[in-house]
Parts: sequence; C-alpha cells; structure tokens
Amino acid sequence: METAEQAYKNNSASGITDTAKPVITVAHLNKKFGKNKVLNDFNIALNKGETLVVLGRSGAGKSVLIKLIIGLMEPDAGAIDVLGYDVPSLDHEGLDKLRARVGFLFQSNALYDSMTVRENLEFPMRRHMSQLSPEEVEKTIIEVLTNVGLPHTIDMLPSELSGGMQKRIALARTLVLKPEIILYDEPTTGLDPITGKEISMLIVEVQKKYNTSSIIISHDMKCVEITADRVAVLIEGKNYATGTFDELKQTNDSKVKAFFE
Amino acid sequence: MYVSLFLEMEIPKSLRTFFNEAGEIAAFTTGFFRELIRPKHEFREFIKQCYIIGYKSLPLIAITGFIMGLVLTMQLRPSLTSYGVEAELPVMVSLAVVREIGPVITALIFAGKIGSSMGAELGSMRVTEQIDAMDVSGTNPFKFLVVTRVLAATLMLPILVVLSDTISLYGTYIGVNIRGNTSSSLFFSQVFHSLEYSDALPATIKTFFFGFAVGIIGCYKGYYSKRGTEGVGRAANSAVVIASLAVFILDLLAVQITDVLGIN
Repeated sequence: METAEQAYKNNSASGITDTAKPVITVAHLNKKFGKNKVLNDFNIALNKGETLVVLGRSGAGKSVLIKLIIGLMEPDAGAIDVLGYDVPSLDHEGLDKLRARVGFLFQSNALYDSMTVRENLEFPMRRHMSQLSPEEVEKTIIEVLTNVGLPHTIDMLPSELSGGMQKRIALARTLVLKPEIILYDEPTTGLDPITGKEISMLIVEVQKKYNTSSIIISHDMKCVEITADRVAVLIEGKNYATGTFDELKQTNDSKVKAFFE
Repeated sequence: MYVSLFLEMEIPKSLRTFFNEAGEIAAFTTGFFRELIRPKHEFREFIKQCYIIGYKSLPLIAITGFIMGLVLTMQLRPSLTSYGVEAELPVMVSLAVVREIGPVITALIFAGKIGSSMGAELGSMRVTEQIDAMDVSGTNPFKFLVVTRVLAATLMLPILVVLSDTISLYGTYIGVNIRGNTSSSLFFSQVFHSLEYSDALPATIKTFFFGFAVGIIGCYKGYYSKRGTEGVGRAANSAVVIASLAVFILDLLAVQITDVLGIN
C-alpha cells in the first residue's frame, strides 16, 4: 500500500504504465458546505485506460468529488485537470466540449422519465453529434443498446424498466457519445447482489470495448473487487490510502481495514 | 449613522426569507431574459410546451368559462330585476367577464394547473438528478426547461383567456335564456355594442403578465426545489400559492395603471 501523497506524485497504478500522462489530475482540492469540510486537500490522478474506485463512507464527499470533476460544482480551492481542460476556469462552452468527452452515470440513473429509451439516448447525440444523419443516430443507439443487452427496450419508457435495466440504459446513454472517461456515481446502489454483480461485469466489459478510463464511486465491495485497477480511500476529506484491492485488503490500518470487514 | 443603525436592526426571519426569495426570483427572471435572447433556441421544446400548457388546458378552461358565465348571469338576474334593468343583463355580465372575472379566474385556474405541474415536474427532475444529467449532456437546462415553459405560459394564457371569455359569453347567453327569450343575434349585438377596445385590450395585455408570473414562479419553485419528495410537494404547493397571489397583485397594479392612463 502506498500513501495517497506517493500515489499522486508517482501517478502509479498496477498494470498501468507509470509514464502515461494522467487523463484526470486533481490537486489540493478543497470543498466545504457551510462548516462541513467534505474535501480537504484531496489529491488524485487517473491514468488512461485505468479504473479507479473511490471508496468512502456515506457523506464522505465521494459524489461531490466527481461532480467537481465534471464541473457540476465549483471547488473552493485546488486544481482539476481533465483531458487537458482546467475545469474550474471553464465557461459553459468549455464545459460542453469537456462533457462531450466525459460520460457521467448518475446514482439515480437520471433517465428523462417523459422520454422513451430511444429519446433518452438521442438527447445527448442531438447536442453533440448534430452532424449525424437519422440513420447513423439510429444505428448508434441500437449498437449501444445491444452492448448493454437491452435492444428490445428502445421504445419503452423508463418507468416500464426494472432498476437494473434502468442502470443499463443510463450506461448506454453515456456510451452513445463514445466518451474517453466515464464517471460512475455508486453504480450498484439500490440493486440486488446479482444485478449489482451484472452491472459491475458490464462496467468491465464496457471499459474494454470502448477503451475508456473510469472513476467509480462506490462502497459496494463486490463492485470494487470486480472493477478496480486501483482503489483510493477517502477519509476525512483526504485521499487517505491508495492501492490495489488486494493491497488494501491486507493492510493493518484500522480505518482502511474497516471497509473490507 | 442612520445606515449603520439600520444595518444593526434585527430583521425578523420571515421578512428576511421574503426578501431573500424576492431577490432570488428577480435573479431567476433576469436569467430568463438573458437566456431568451441568447442562441441557440429550443424551438421544438417550446412548441411541445405550448401544446401541453395551452392545448391540454383547453377542456378545463372551457368548462370553467362556461360555468362562470352561466352562474354569474343567474346570480345577477334577481338584483337587476329588482332594479328593473334586467335587459342590461348581457351587457353587465359580458363587461364583468371580459374586463375582470374572465382574465382573473382563468389565470387562477391556470396557476393551479400549470404552476403546480411546473413546480412538481421540475422539482422531481431536480430530485432525481435529471437536471444535472441535462447539464452533463451538453444541454443548458435553464434554457431547455425554464425558458420554454415560461415563454409558453406567457403566450398561451392570453389565448386561453380569450377562448374562456368567448365560451363564457355562450354560458351567459344560455343563462339569459333560462328565464327569458333572447335571440342569439340580439344577445351578441347587445354584448358587442357595449364592449369597447378599452375593455378588451388592457384585460388581454395583463394576461401576458399573469402567464409570465405563473411560469416564472412555477419554474423557480421547481428548479430550486430542495431535495426529497417532501421538497417536490412543497414546490408544487408554494408555486400555486405564490402564483395566485402574484395574479391578484398584478391585477391590482393593472387597474391602477389603466386608471392613471385614463383607459378605465
């Protein structure tokens, strides 16, 4: 196990070349809500092709972290570099350009409930891929739906789908833009263990097929074990420890050990 | 010295909340105008909202308009009969409907139906992160959700009021004929003879403001709804209450303005 500071400085990861330039670099990040300091000098780096899981207790600031990375929130201090973009300084147009390359899977799926699955998937494409013909849009939609195993749901409404199916459709919606990075906010929360495992496997599959880099926010240890190349433990607003799943599992640090018991 | 004394004064919490909210609504309204003129426009969504807000409100507005005309006629008849001016019934009711009751009642029904649905819809979208998802997918949610809805509400309410007034006059015609026998040509010639542009025009103009207020307040309450299902309920409820109150305040201002301008 290495310290967060070392991990950040060395930018190392198991199975990942040390020389690779990180696609996401977060440095000395601070964010507080009132008097509650959720991120306190937080540092992390995500390498190309890597899946990094951020582990932490509920309310630790995990979801805040990825919302800061995608520009949905503004940090109080610190630097966030995503694919060469300095996120806190981006205007609306800059954020749009960044978001065309970064997918975000929401904890609640956030499917537009007044739209069918097809319209949900068309929505981001209309914004970012307006040059595509209707046939190409349809082809892409069917392709991603097939990749998540749900091509038959194309004309259904989100309310007609189960929680697991909604999660798959939400993932399909992030995939239509073929993002280079996907940020997952607790992808298995609210799902039964079997469906949770299926979603975790799907994340790994998607990672390989689309060659994406990912940050996954989770406290589902099964999901962490299946998906993580590297795990960062967020405690008291800091990147407390970073390592592979097995490295962290074997640690004697009681704070880290608590997650694996 | 007076300024520092003023600043040191303890402002009651409810008053502070009121001014805070008023300031936020003002900022929200400014945001609406800024996004309204900034391209690119969500024309498809605007048309969809016109259909939902305008066309789908039509049956409710038509029924209430008809009942309004009919009931008002039946209620006024005894009083006018006692003064011996029963023949003026069509004129009295049509003036009341076109100048005041039609726009205000329709706007209140509109606030109940549209204000609450905007508050609840945007509130639940906020709670389920759909607004964030829209932001992440490269769509300006304010422009897509707020601008289209407010604009549709502003433009649809005057049309609904004109339709409601018209249907209300038919209700009045039926009300007049329950205990009398007036031909439609006589009834409508009497009505249109008594109505002037100065009756219809200010009444119609003020409905644009009513529609705008209902749209802005409904969207504001939903868009900034606090987390949780309770927050959605509160958003819908307070949207109706504040929008209804705004309709009355705007009506009061409108009557003052028309009075000052001498078109009352």
